[in-house]
Amino acid sequence: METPNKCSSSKQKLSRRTFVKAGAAVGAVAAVGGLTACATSAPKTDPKPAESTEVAEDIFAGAQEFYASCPPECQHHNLKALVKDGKIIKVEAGVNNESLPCLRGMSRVEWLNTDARLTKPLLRDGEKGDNKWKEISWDEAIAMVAEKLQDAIDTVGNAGIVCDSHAGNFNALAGAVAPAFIARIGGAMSLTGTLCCAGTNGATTTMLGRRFYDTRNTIVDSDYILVWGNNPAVSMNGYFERFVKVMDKGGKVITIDPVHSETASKSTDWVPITPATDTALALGMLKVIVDEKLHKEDFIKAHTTAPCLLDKSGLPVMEKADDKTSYMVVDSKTNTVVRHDSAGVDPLLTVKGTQHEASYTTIFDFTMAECAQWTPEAVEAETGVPAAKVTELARDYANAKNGMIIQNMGGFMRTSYGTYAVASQNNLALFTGQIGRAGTGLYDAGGVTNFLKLTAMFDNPKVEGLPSVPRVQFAHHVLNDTPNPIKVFISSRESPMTQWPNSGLLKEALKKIPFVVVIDSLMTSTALYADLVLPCAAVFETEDLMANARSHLVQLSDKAIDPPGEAHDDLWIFTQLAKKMGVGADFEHDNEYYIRKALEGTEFTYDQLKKEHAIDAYPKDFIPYQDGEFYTETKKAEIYQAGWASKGVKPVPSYYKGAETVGGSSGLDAKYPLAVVQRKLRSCVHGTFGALAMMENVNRNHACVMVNPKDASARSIADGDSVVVYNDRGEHKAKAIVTENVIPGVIVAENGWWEQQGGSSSYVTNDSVGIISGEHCCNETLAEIKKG
Amino acid sequence: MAKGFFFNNKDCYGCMTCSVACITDKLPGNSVTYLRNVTEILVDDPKTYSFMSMSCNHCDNPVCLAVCPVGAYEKLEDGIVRQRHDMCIGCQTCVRECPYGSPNYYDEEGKTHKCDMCVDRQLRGEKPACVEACPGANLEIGDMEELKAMDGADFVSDPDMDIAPNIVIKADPKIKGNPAKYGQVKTS
Repeated sequence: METPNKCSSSKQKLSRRTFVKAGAAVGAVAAVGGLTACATSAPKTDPKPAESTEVAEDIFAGAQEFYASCPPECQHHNLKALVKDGKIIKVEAGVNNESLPCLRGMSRVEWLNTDARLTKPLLRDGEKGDNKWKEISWDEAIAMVAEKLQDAIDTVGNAGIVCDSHAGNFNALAGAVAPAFIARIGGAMSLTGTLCCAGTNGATTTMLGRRFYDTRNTIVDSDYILVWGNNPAVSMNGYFERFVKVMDKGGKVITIDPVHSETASKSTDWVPITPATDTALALGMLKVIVDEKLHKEDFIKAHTTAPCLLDKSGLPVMEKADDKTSYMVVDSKTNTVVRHDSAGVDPLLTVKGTQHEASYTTIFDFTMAECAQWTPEAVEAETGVPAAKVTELARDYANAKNGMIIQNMGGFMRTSYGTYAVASQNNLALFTGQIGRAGTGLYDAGGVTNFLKLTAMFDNPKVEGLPSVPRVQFAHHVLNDTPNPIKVFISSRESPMTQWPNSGLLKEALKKIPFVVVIDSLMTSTALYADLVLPCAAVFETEDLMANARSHLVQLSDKAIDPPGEAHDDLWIFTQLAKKMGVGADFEHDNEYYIRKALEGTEFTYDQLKKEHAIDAYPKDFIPYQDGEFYTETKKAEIYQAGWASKGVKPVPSYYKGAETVGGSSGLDAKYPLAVVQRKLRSCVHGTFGALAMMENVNRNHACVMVNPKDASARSIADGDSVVVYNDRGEHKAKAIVTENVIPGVIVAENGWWEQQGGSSSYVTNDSVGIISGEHCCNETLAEIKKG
Repeated sequence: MAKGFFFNNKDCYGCMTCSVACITDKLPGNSVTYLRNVTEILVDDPKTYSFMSMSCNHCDNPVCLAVCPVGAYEKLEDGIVRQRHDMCIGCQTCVRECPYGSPNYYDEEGKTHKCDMCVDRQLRGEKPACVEACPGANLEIGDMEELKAMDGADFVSDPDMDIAPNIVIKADPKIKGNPAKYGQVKTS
């Protein structure tokens, strides 16, 4: 037993004796630490203490300091770069952070200095994917892109162009320039639906009026937290200690997840659940809560549309057809039908057993009707969560002094009906009044966007009449030429080949598109399949502004050094393109100009940020939806969503079984009986950082998958074996971690591995699109696994 | 006096920021020679996903010091075991003998590096890079007697061990006790 699991990095140095000498009284911790080792092997020494300690020279002394935000889809910590002789020699914590930044931010020192940086425009000099390139000049590159764009416009129209960006960089200027350029050449086909949280957009933005109001400042005020389908120990590692504090104070943290994750292990309790069945659990919990009268009637009546009436066809009864806020209720005092917001109204939650039953039902009853079949036993049968546990979760959450759900961008929402999964959890908070106070609420991921409205850096002409397709089905549309052929694809601030579903099909699409341009600082998985790769600046190589939905800080990102070689920032690249195509008039400014413009109308100035670098702009003591004030037109939480009904599904949360699940309508479970879910790794944010040597060496350089011993032994897979996860879409190669830390029937794959590291788990993921909000369905995937 | 590390295994959630804070502070430009390593401990029964962060334990009777053929290691007054890097000949005897895998050989340089508890940072009034960077505040340094007396100091060096490592661990209650009942200890 050298190292029991061969899924290990080269840094692993635990020796044989480290394990075998583990004494009975010490335990696994000491065994791994090696603390009981060598009781007899250590030679006796009698070291003479050194007399004095000379202080070595501080290699960082005298370094210039620069500050910038870490901008991928993470917590946007403020970082500090130390610069000597024009070179960044260290990246560490910056100023005014809400919590401490992590290893990934620090690893930027390698990113900034690595020989792997792209320094010249590269033109494909082989087949796509061969990684063979010819260096060309910027003049040639810009002329070529302009010519290809013009050709697309001339032959297909602007719909023949796609210029896409996603979550690789949340900076304001980097995010503004590509859309500004595209708008000025007449627009392009757009890709819709976020990969992470379309479900939240479809549920929370509609029900509560706005999202991104986070609860993280009051986590420690909670005494009962349901961490639902996400893993804050990895994805929110800056402030995970706040959850630990809740438990230290006697509170409970319960993690609902198919995986016994880092967070689950630290939690009071782990509730494993069958993937894609979370809505059934939430509906079942709501049924227990209402059956046992644990719901808060006063809160529901005052702050939600639950008492509002529906007619017998299930449509809301409105005072005026053209007034979406004119919901009607039955006033219990007068027994008459009045507006929900009439003065002094005390609405009935249910009209069952009243004279009104013949004409109406309430949204409350309509909502509960969707829960009716979800008895604890039925929930157990569908989700695998024991009936008694369903009841316990419902009671404990409802009865908690301050109960919080950490929903965030949980994996449960990347399923066909992810919107319902989010909405059904929202209803738990709304029906129990566990929202609007410190220590309550629904998600701790948010930022300053709701409080700081930046002025547009570019005033873009309106472009209308161009098509859009769901991002997760981009490849299908390209390969089928629907609604039209794509001739140019420009991709920046993203890497579709690691993040979008069905990588194999996407690869075919990238090969088919006549001209693919990737703008990046490293040869990413996607860049490998480009025709032209344009080298761009990294953080600390360009000035930008960060004020977004992941951090409470507004930050000025300094330019500390020049980008390497001929790399340039996004502003420069799109400016050259705009000029070449004759639309460059609005691009004749430097970064500072646009940042100053963006800050106009805010309470912050460029000069202030230049001095302070990062300022906490989140209102002190802010409570999301405080006292039940929501941001909808009715000012109430809108439980009934006509928009969902317009998609042919229920207007309140309902459980529909996902097609690509065991027992689902796809029938794929006969061939592929295992459900695949994705987990995030500490060494990357999506694909970002993951290929840096520093990250490979601290964590590992290859993908692993977690498999339950039952599933593994049925396939003769041993811990550490090389395996292939496969289905009709493709294959994902990894090493097996055989462990009870994942439930039987489920494989846990890892998000973010690059082509050069063996490829993304997305090679097998489901590329269907959710009908309600365009959900990405990667966690509703069936596959098989074999040795390989 | 003996200085040692305190590590809170109960609350550590394995972000590995300590490792990267260390290497970027101690060995700029090096992405390979980690002086603090975080080991994943995945246990099936009881189900546990736990982590062990460890660098040098600055032993009372350091093996590295005893076996180094050129005497590159020294024990400072406060107990820190420091390597005088200019003396290292890269023979890796210490790498082979240290039971904790603390010294780490850097191929490109042909020499070995080891944690010195950021003695220079301490002399400048700063904490070691790993301690300062830990987002969960699960690492600390201090005098061993004080660390041992801390609330939750579950595991301290066994006095019968000749080597006498200076580390205090607050253990994850799930994996404290007899390892025999845990089945396989996995690391990755």
